[in-house]
Amino acid sequence: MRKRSIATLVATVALAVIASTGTAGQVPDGWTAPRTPDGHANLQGIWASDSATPLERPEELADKATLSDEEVATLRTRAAELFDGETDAAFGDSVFRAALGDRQDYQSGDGVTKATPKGTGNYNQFWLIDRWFDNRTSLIVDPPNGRIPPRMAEAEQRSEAARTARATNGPQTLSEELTRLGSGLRCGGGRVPMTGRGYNSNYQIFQSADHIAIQMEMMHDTRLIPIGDRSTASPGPRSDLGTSRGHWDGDTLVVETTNLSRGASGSSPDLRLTERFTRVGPDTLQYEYTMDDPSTWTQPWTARVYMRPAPGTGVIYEFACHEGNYAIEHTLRGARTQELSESR
Amino acid sequence: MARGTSGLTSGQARRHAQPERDLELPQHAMTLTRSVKAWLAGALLCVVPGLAHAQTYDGPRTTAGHPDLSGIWQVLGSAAWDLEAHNAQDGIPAGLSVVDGGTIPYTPAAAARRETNRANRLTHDPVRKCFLPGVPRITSLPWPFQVVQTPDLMVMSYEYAHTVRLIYTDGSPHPLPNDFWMGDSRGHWADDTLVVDTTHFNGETWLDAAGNFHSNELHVVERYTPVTEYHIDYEVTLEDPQVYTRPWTMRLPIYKRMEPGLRLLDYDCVDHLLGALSQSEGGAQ
Repeated sequence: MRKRSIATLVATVALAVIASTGTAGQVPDGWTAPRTPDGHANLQGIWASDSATPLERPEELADKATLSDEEVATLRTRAAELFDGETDAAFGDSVFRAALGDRQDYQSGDGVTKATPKGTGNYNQFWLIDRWFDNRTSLIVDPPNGRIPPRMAEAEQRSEAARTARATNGPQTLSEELTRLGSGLRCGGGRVPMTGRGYNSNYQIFQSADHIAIQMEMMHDTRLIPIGDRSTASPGPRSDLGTSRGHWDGDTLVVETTNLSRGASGSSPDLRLTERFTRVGPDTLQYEYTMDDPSTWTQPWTARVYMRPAPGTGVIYEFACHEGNYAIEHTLRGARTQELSESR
Repeated sequence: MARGTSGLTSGQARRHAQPERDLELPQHAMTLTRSVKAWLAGALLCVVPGLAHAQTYDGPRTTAGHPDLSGIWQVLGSAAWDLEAHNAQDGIPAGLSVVDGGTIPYTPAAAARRETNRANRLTHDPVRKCFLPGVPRITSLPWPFQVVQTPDLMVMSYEYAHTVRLIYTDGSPHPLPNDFWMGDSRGHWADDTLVVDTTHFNGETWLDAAGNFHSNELHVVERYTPVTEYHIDYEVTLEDPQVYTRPWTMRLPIYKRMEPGLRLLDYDCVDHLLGALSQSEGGAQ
């Protein structure tokens, strides 16, 4: 009897330890979201998206959807040792993948060409936010294999045509050259879905009775989402953030967006984006986004991101991008210098 | 007494998990103050007709009882080109001064600098370089802006270069010294006027396209007083001992955009700047 009791006790404690480090999205017992004056769930706050979980399940993990607590602890330790502030900055999935591969050093790979095999480096990791690990192996929850569905043939043709055009023709005009630099380098508008992690990836949500505003630190762009009117978007100019409409599904805010000026994750601009925001704990905002573009993917796919209250002072400071942006000037000047030296 | 349109019942109010701080005073004190004010206003209206202005706003209000400034707004007129009275130029209409007293009270040195700015405005104007416009210039630019109003924070989102201002109305003070293109803004309600105090400017912005300017010591107090639900009296007092001999005030109306289904669209200033650059350098476009 005593042995059984001890065994039971040990098992119970072990289960409790595992449960307490379980998935971020479990709603605490007895907790419900606070309310705004008009009775809806209060999603307000400054939420930081700094999870290390990769968008797609790495191939080396096959069908493994969940890591054990020991595996998570190992990744966490490896990442802390590797990213000590001295390496190149690691964006997106790079932190997880470097830890998974037990890399001993990290270089960004930026600017690697035949002429410059060591690349140019990029920011220092010091400037980025530490990423946190949980035991998920992908942000994608549907399809269940944790990977973006296959691309449609027409999407592949689209990409190939663009690649070929860029490879065979250098930019013929300054305007083309500037366009190829990308809107981020030009300090253009914000992006949806909100996939940034670890770098200006703070989102401040405001709720009035009939609007949600989401201020995105990156590019100081604000999403303005009217609530309630579910009529289709009026035709009109496409825009960086598209045209959004929100409605409540219980305590979940559902936002539907179309009319984008450019695609996301390789989609066409006709992407139909559906996002679902649910506060699943006092310090956890669950952000799910579904990407639906029949001309790009064989089926829609959904990713789930957990956001936490922003660390530090908890303020989104002014993001003055273009005001200090010498990248375009230097890039163009470098290209002109290179052309001169090649023509000699 | 009348409150916004939320239909919040007292039962729902008690179920708040966290107080939303949508009342600056405890309920009973707010009630008493407003009753006293209403009585006084009524008494004064009987005696002094000219004081009726402050009590005439009957547009939407929030649950806290303040005017609800949510919506899309825009300034008319040509203050963005020149705050002072000006004749027309090609593409720029003439305009009356929006400055009380007509002209901005520069120190002699600052007046000379203003003339230099004006002469060089096509190259020196920071907005022509697509830099953030500062305050109050952002208000008067000919692009709309949208207000989303919550009890502790008001978001003002401007179509021009997707500029954003956060107006903290939670009683918090200006932060430790730092400098920003758009300054740091703290607001409070004085009756039906939103008073916004902005400091911490970096001194890099202009007040209009005519070279009117300020230093990093600029201190701006804006007063947004909605008159009807369709327009706001916007009054701005500017103080800057490095540049002006005294504080001065400008005022102009802000109008509500009424088109159904209107939304802010993109104005990615840098793309247009680079487009113009590429044309001037012989780009095929």
